[in-house]
Amino acid sequence: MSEPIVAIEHLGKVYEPFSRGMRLLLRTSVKEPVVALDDVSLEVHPGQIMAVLGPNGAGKSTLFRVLTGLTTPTTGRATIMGLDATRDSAKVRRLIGFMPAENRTLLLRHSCRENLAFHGRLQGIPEAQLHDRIDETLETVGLYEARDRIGFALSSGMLARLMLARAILHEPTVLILDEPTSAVDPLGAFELISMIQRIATERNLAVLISSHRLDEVEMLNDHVVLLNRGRVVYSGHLSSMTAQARRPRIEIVAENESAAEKLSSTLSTIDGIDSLQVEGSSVFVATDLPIDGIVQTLNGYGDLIVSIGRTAPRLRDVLGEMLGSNSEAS
Amino acid sequence: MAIAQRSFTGIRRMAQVAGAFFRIDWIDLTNYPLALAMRFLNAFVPIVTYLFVAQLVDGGGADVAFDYYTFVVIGIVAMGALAASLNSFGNAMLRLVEQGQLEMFLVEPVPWRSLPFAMMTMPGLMAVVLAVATLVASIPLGASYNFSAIPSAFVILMLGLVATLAIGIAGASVKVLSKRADPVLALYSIAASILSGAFYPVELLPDWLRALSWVIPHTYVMQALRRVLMPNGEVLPGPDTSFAIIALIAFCLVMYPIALWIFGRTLEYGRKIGALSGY
Repeated sequence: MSEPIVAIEHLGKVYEPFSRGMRLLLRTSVKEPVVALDDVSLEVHPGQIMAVLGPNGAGKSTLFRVLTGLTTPTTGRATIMGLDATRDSAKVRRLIGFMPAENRTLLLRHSCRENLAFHGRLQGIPEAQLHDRIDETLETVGLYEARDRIGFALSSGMLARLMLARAILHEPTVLILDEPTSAVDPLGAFELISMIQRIATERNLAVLISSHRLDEVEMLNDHVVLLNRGRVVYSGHLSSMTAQARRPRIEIVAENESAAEKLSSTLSTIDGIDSLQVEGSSVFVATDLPIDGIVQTLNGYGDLIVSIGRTAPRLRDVLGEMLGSNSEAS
Repeated sequence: MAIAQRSFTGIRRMAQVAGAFFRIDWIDLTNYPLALAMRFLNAFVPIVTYLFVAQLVDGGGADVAFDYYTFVVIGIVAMGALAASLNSFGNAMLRLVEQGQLEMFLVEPVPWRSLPFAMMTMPGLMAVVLAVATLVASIPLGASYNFSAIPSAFVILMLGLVATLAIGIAGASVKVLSKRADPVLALYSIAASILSGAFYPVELLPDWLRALSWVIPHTYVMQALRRVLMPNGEVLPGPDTSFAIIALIAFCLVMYPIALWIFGRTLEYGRKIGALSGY
């Protein structure tokens, strides 16, 4: 396997309460030290897209802030192409393309071209190459036709694509995307994720992407790191993650919603059922029991049932299970 | 040779970054034409007000050995230009924090210590343009200047802008963390308005206050500008122009390393405690 582009080793970050002098300048609600990252280790290889998942406050943004040099780790280290993200921050920032969650980081009174030209100059792209590079990048993200429109005249989806253009303009080696689709409608989000996948493949980029939209993570179908309270709960391929789910699931499709409710209440009386969920006219059963046992239990309700079968665990349930057991353990 | 090449590359890079900020500031400036016109109008208000105050001073039997109107217009112009240099960087940093753009700038591979200079190109130019426009506007109102001294006056003004920017950088450092309060600039601005002699000669101050007035660059800028620009400026008391220029250069040499050190340390501290975003 190729050398990792991003290597994070035993990274920890604790936000301490402000000192007395600092509190005189600015009040804070932080009274106790807050552990944002705790012994986080991971690697991202060229061409790999790593989805960073976790509930709010899990440490995703702090992880990205360490990599982009916006904060310093308390323990451990993060390197990009062998350069220390803290010590060699200025060099590392040339290698990173960063897309923050908020589109107000763009110059909204300025056109797409002006936004990219400003960023390109700060990145040190020679003036002779800058304008061609901007046009090519706008073509790549599908904004060439809107090149002279100002930020305020763009839709949220277009703003997200402009932020992606800004992140890739200087041809970075690593893309760090903090909830890139948070303000985009589902169709736009699908297009943006496809675009990110295409760019990552074509340019052999290492990509770290955080998202709360699990359908996007499933669409990426690549590596996943799951954080909870600053710790890594899972790190590996998405397919291995779903295979790790403790309980297989059975889906019973009923005639209608009331039939599904009836089947659910019948199943709730038997032992060995871990969870029951009714969604529309379907009942999802998490259990170790053989499917025959379920069929036998529902023997008298044949006329209410359309089909019974095993189904792949949903990512939402897998995450819930993993985060739940992690909370119990801690 | 290698050092010279590195310096050249550094200067070229600095010029590129400054150019980037200049262009976006120019677009911002021209996006709001009425606001730009009002800035000029506001700059002209004091020279009209002091036209009448000068009539009171000159015609009221005050023992003044120079043209008070020209004297005070130079004071007003210098005060305005230096205030722009003093406050622009802090205000720009605060605006970036509030707009959520500071962190995005800090992710760019630009040395943080070069930000004050890069971000001050447009405000600096505007300060000079406003100063020139105000001086020109005061001529029909009765002010008179020694036009042959314009190059010297330009050098003095530029030195003054650079010197006060150093104080502005130190003040902006506090603002990055405090988000609102800025004790450095607040105290300095109070001191400058009383001690610099914008509206009266510093010789009118009590001895102990007059001694303090020569600690701040404002006083040297006003003194030197009046000496070169006023037709009979040499009659003004106080140190001569070359001394004022040397004092301003010395001030820059001492203050810049300190101000940039404070700015760098503040950003590092803000980075450590996570205080660079939010307000």
